[in-house]
Amino acid sequence: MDDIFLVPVIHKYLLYSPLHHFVALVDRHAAQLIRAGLNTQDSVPEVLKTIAEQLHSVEINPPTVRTGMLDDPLFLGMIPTRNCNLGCRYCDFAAPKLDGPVMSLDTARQTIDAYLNLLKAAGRDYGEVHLFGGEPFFAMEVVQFIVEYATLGASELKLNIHFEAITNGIYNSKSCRWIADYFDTIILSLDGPAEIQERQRPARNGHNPFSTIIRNARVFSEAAVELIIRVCVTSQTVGRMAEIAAWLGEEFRPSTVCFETLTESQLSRASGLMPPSPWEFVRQFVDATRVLDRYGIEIVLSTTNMQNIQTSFCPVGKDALIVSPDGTLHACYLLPEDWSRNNLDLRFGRVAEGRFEIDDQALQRIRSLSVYDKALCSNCLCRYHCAGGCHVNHHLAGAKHYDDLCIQTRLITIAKLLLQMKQDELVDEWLTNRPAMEASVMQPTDRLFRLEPIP
Amino acid sequence: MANLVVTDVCNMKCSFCFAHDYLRKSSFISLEAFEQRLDFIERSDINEIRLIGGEPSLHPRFPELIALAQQRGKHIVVFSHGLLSERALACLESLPVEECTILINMNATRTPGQRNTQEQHQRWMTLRRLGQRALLGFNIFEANPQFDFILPLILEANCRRVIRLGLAHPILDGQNEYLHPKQYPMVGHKISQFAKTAAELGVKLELDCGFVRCMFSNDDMETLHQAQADIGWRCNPILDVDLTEQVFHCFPLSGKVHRPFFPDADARNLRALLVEQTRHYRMAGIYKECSTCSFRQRDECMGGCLANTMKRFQPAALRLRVPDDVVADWPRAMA
Amino acid sequence: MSGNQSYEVLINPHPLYWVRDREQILIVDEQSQEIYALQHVEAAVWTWLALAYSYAKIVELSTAMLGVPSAEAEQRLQVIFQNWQNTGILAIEAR
Repeated sequence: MDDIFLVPVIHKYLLYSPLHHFVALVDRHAAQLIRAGLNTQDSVPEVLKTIAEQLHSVEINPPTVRTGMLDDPLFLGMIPTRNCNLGCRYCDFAAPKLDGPVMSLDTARQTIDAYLNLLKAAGRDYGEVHLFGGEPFFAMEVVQFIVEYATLGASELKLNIHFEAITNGIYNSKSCRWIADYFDTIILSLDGPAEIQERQRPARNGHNPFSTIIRNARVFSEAAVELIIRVCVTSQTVGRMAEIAAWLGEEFRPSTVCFETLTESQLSRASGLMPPSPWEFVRQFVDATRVLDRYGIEIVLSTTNMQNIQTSFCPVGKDALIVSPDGTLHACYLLPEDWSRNNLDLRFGRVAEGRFEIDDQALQRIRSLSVYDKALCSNCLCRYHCAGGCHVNHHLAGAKHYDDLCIQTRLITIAKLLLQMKQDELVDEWLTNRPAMEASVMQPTDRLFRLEPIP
Repeated sequence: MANLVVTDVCNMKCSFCFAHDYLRKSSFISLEAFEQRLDFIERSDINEIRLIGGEPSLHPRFPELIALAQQRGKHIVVFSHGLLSERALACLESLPVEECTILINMNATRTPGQRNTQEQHQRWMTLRRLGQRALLGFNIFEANPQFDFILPLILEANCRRVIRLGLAHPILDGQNEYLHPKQYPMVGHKISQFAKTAAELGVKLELDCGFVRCMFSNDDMETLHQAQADIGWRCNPILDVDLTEQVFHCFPLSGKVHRPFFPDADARNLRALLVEQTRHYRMAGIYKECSTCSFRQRDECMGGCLANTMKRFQPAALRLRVPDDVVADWPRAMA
Repeated sequence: MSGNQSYEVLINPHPLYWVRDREQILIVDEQSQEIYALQHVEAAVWTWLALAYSYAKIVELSTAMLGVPSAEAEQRLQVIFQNWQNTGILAIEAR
């Protein structure tokens, strides 16, 4: 009951209870009556009874941190190589980018054996293999072996395996057709039309790969593979989000477009790339939502996915098994150098002799990284879906105030809930009223029972 | 069932048109050839005469074609975009309601992607005059189809209380806009919701060929049953008899799966030949899962549109150099 | 392999169309009106062939996949290629 949130939106209030899957728009008086009614079991006016009943109904349990044996991994992640043929101006993945280690066929084989055996022993019939990089298809032979070997093993054990990869889209036509036919989901990084893509994601060899990426995106569009397009938004491109959305919708038939804001880094600053203002981003995000809706395409900002009630935003803490090229087991696909800058160690074992050798202490330490340890999140309506965001890049330790990432997540969460209730006019009015937006996201607590008085 | 192509001329530019690549000529069927086709229909015990194009009403002797068809005493079906000349409209209006169905394609347009109020007005006038003769159809080629506008038109123009929904299928090796099978589940849900709204107004949905069972969730199926929607999981050769004495499986496959049309042809034999010509592709379906799907095994689905299925296949271009000493012991099967 | 090694070339002798399904590869031979379903190792080998991998690479990948010595993997490959020649989907190109 404590996890009911109330946020002012101009002259109305958004009442949201993620654990009841409940959302409503009420006025101040109604909010006060509901609060009083829920607190004291006093009678609530007839017109508000349905709301009070729903909030009195059994809520789902708050999400908990995992314990016990690792027998339900979120997915198997494999990093065939950290190498990549692009030199993205915001990508901090460490050098060397072209001649770093590549996973051996033997490591790949042992990893898949370990994963399939784990699934079988746990009585499961479904698994997921996700490929990360660098650019995973830069080690194409290894990937092709992984898919064939996993398919063969899964078939023998009567398991169904879903294959997914995140990719930059640079390979020849034959390889692209193979990816389109053999993968279930492809997440393609494509920041926009030529001038944006070339500025933000140039090739390392000076060539312009844009036409290759577009050709391959069209192959994915025409094939059965689910295509998700990931767009990195900067302060320079934020004003073009609706245009980018229309272009992607018209050209590539993606199921989903993820608009993610740039993660600021030394390299991005040196390249003159900055994240957009959260206030501008939410306006553009709403415009892009409407554009993509016409094409039946879902829009996503990863920290605002309210389908997931969770204690951690990412694979960390969900027992994802992410295997690096040398067979080390990680909880996160980012580089160890990145974790250690934030005093994190996300290693928890290794692959050896066809099984996962898991360091139980490390596993428990990683599982405990959750929203419950993030003080700033405790009163935020986004705590059960954003869960504090990326453990590596979103620095919340000791934070007293919401930063731009928090503000953007809070704004978009509110906008999405209002749009879900078809409150388009209210959203438009709110988006042009900066003080009202600030009042929505800057209140010290969103908890209905801690707001004193209701603002 | 068989469709008689009476012209390959059309004055619309629908982006989803299955006959897109076919409509490049300017031919009209002769009355003599049309009579031959009518003999074929009778000989084959087919109970409908279905006129298709292009746009059949653009045939300069359209009223005479209709009169010849009428003489055979069978139900007449005309596939039209509904933007008819006064002459063609008067001809169709004169047919008794119970003897004809004018299937109007509600999203045919000269200006794809743009709202065309002039066309909408003209089609509205057509519907009002055809009344119960008109059955409204809609081709779905986008993941978020907007078909709600059809319901008030049916009620106001007093057309038949049925909407025929078709999926836009790809022309094999062609260039039309079509609904990709990966978009089907989203559309499936929208159709079920539309069926519910339509049923509340006394209108039933009739689903055309190429639908698959798995595009509808169990809840969607329940909604469709309650709305008494007519659902089939068909993909059979209808037989389109064209102007160049060819019979093809359907427009999407017209370039690949066809047979010659002989004066003494029989529809049953032609259909069997076309089925045989495509038999080996039927083991697959529009999805990776179709060949081992339980709906398919229980005959609750046919695996969707054959053009979509065949589009998934790619030509093999194998070329492997094997060292001589390795091959030395192999039996020699020369190409 | 030495630089002056001579080769035979394996090809599909007439047009074939193929598709990858969830549990198998289907190959349609329009000439003979036959359809073939390849599963397990055969499906993987077909894929590597279609991707134009060299014989040596296919042996290497098969060795890793089967977890056997490369000579044994090569023998398995020979059986597969012979089966395919018998069914007519593969042939040695005439010189």
